[in-house]
Amino acid sequence: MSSQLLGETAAYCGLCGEPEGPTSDTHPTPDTHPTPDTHPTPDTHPTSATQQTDAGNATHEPHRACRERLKMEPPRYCRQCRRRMKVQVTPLGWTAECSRHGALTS
Amino acid sequence: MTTLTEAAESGSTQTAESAESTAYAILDIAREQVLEGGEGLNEAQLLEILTLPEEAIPAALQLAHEVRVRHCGEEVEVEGIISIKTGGCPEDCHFCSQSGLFDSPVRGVWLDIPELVKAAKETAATGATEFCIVAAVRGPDIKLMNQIKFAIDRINEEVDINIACSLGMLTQRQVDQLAEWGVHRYNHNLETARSFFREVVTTHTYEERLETCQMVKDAGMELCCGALIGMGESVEQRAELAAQLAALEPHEVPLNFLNPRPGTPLQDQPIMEGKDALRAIAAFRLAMPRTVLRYAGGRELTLGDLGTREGLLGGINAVIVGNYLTTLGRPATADLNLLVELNMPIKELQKTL
Repeated sequence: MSSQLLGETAAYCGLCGEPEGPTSDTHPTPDTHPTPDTHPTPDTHPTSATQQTDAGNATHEPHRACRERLKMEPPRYCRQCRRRMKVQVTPLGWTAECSRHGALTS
Repeated sequence: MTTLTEAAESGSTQTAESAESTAYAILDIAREQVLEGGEGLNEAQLLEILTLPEEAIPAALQLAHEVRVRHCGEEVEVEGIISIKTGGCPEDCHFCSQSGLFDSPVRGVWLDIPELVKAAKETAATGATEFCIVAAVRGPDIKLMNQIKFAIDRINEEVDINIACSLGMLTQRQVDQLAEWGVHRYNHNLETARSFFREVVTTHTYEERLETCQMVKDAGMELCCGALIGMGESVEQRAELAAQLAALEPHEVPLNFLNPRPGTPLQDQPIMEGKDALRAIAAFRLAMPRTVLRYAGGRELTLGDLGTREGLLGGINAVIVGNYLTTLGRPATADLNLLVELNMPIKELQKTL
């Protein structure tokens, strides 16, 4: 269940907050892949672990490692505006709320 | 304390005479001392367990499992945990994404009581007997204590489950209040060895942690005091930690494996090797034959599905079911089905009045 419409364009990665690229369904070129040098922001800097893992498939799916990690943690960034969301984890679920774009639930 | 060499030498003498001897003297010693005698291994002996060659790990886990069954029984204790106050913590525990001092993506959030009660109900429905309410704080203020009192009352009205709390360092008055309100277990981890503590936390001391632990025990609450391994401590420090925990005689020890969190000082720490995690599980059980030894955070990452099973057959006798505080766990059904498959009964509720 989600108040964020699935059809809307996801501009940012929910895990690291970096841009997704032109669309999430096509393969971005290497130039569109965010790197620490081109997209530093103080509060959305991805971990180096993410960077290292992403490096191997940078030309295909820049956030494949992030998507893997999202199986084991809730999203922290709004995919539409990259705001940090308020996240509540419970034993059997989670909710993540963007002040502008509403709540996602597990 | 005997040195490692002395312990190994005395062990090898016994091995030659033992009918059930293995190729590893320390395992023969542990069988006699821990399984038969009920006395945990000391620090030097634990170091031997933690440095066993890979081919000895199955035998170490098998022995730890026998110790667990002999001294704790077949039952497995299931618990759910929840954060009532997430993020914005003033402490600087270098592993924690909830410290307000690091550039972590975790935002500050308070959980409202109806949601907390709902989560307690869902947790009880899994068969869990424990529900632990956690706050990311140095210690509770009056507002948090009032919330906790309110939460305990509401949960007790609607849900049959034991309530535990983890609210940081306590004053004597707060310890007494929690005990009076019916909190039967209090979690306050040592996290790491005394000799490594200052590498990981600078905003409070090991002694302060020990003080809270001691007050909790003295007030008659069960002490839940855990470990977080894989933070860069040496294997000697891991043995030290197990021995220091054993000396506290906690009712429960939750065993966490570092999950490096973005933005924290330990974000680049490599994930601990599964084999080392299994050695640690065996060692912790052999250090504390009667303690509830619980699988806690990071096991999915460090051990995976296969390792989870190995640990449950290697000394673990409790699990955190479902999600953790800021990260997700295996689906609750995966663990519950595994317990059925392993023929391990879930401990039933024995609520203390």
